[in-house]
Amino acid sequence: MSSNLDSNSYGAYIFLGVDGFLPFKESYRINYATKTIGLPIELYGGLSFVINQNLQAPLGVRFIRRAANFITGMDLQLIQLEPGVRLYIEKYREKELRLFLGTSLLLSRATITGPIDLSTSGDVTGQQTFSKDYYNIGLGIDLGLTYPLTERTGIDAFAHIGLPLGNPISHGGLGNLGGVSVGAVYKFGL
Amino acid sequence: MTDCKSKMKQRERSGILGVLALFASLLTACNSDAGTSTNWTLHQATAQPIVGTFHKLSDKTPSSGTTSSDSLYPLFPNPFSRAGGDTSVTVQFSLKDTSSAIVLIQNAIGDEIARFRDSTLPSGSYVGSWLPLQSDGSSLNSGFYFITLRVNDTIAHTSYINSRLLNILNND
Repeated sequence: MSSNLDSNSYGAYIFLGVDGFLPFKESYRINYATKTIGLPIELYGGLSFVINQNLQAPLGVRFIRRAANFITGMDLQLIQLEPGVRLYIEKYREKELRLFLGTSLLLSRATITGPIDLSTSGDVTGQQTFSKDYYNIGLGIDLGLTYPLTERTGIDAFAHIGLPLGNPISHGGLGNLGGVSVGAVYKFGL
Repeated sequence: MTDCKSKMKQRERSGILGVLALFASLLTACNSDAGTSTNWTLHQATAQPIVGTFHKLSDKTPSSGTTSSDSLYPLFPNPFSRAGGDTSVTVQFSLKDTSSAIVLIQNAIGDEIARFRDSTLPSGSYVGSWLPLQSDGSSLNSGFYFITLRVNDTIAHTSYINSRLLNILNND
């Protein structure tokens, strides 16, 4: 049996990938579109520590930017730290897909920024950009498949759901509310 | 008068929601058509107790000239500050043709806070005041809110949609 990322030969690996957000709420879908560097993607990367062949401890960072569809210059950006655990449901077998389940703590900061037409009586006296930060914690749930590409590299495909615990309006969690992120990461053993 | 009757039949089809409000608005509309009043009231579709009312200002836009297009005008006061003494937000819009209209108020993640709607409004400009409170009467959280005008909104087609951003500043 040759070694690879999931065979416990490496103590850790780094990963980097992209995902797309599928919102379930129509109102969210109407008002916002995901846009990161001009593309409808979210960025996700981090470091994962291999505990044994069936258990890992990833520390992920997710970046999300949503642009308002009807308000030029308005967007919300969310950066989220995601420490968690991942359990492989199937035993390790060389060059085979493996199903995994994961859960993580979500520590998020969402910043919403928008231009306001300043007005006290109906006449616009100027425009000012306002910004507000929201902080939240939440729970992340992942379901995915992993596949070893080479001895040192591999790829994961996953679906991720984020559940903010605090009220999203008063405490943030504006990023992945009411939807699922589907994506893939490339990983490299250290 | 025939026009008023047809409007009444059309309203009956929309259900019993807000019967009294509909009656009042129809009465106003018929009077308006007869040239005795310029008021028209949009009724709120949600069950929230805190509402606002919209009234027809004139057949012209707030700036000048005839109503040549559907428009949602700047909100005021904006930013809204309860600590600064603000009590209601004024929303103005105009319709170029007789249309159905919805003024939708949503928070930053798109949750509906309030909705004002009417199935048939004559062309002209309208002004409304909205009290930015939660359903229990407490202040809304600070932050951004979308105020959106939707004209002739159907599942298949919306002839006009425009949003403006309201910033509410409270001490939360």
